[in-house]
Amino acid sequence: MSSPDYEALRASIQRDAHELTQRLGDSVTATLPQAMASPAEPPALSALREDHDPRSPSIEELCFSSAMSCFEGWLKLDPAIGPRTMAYVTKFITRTLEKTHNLKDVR
Amino acid sequence: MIIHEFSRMLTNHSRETLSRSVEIWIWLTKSFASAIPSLSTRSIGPLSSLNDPDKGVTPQESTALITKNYPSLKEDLQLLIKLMHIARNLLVVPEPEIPQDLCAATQFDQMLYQTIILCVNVTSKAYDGDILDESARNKLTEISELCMDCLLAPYRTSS
Repeated sequence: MSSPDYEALRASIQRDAHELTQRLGDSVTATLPQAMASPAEPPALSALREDHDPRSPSIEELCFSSAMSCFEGWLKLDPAIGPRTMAYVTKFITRTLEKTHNLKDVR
Repeated sequence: MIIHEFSRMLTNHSRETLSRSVEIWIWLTKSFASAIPSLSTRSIGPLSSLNDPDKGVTPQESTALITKNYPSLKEDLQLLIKLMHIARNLLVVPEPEIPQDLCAATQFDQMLYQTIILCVNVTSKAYDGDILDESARNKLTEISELCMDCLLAPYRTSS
């Protein structure tokens, strides 16, 4: 992943983590740098690539299925989903509805 | 004109991609399967009590349940309407046989049947207008209208 935005975000997270580590002391020094050392690419970003495997789910499928997964958690309280996450879920579902709407010629 | 055409192509692509995905239909079924018992408990009592006259919830109790759980009911019903609308859109594609088969295979049609029963029960049972104040009456009316919207969502035409 070489996107400048992603690199900037990663650098800013590393700076924050460094400051936090210094503030909190030795208790977290072993875990935080270890976690920050792995430059793992977010899974959704790989789906945005044009050359990704056509059998893998598209970005719309990923977003919509994850939104429904959270909606199920919200209803069953397992896992408990908070109101902020539900705001994102509502946004994702609304966006999916917009994307599947407005198509007169198939009727 | 070009933007409109591009937007139409994107819509077409999204709709067909989603409509052919087994995972999406399974998640839709799971979402409705979770929503129905939860909504029922918050409006007309637990599902198990519906067919049992001894455990049944009276219209007054049902009215009290709906007015008490009004904010969460409204929010969840609005999301359910959107999901119902998306499901309806996914069935309207140039080759509808594929999503129709997936819909039947994942038993999403059964979930729709259960949703219809729940909405009819809420709109018919939960109304005790004589002893209600204005605020509670408005809440009941709004929930009933949302239930009807949920039932009518598949019949609305897209623009």
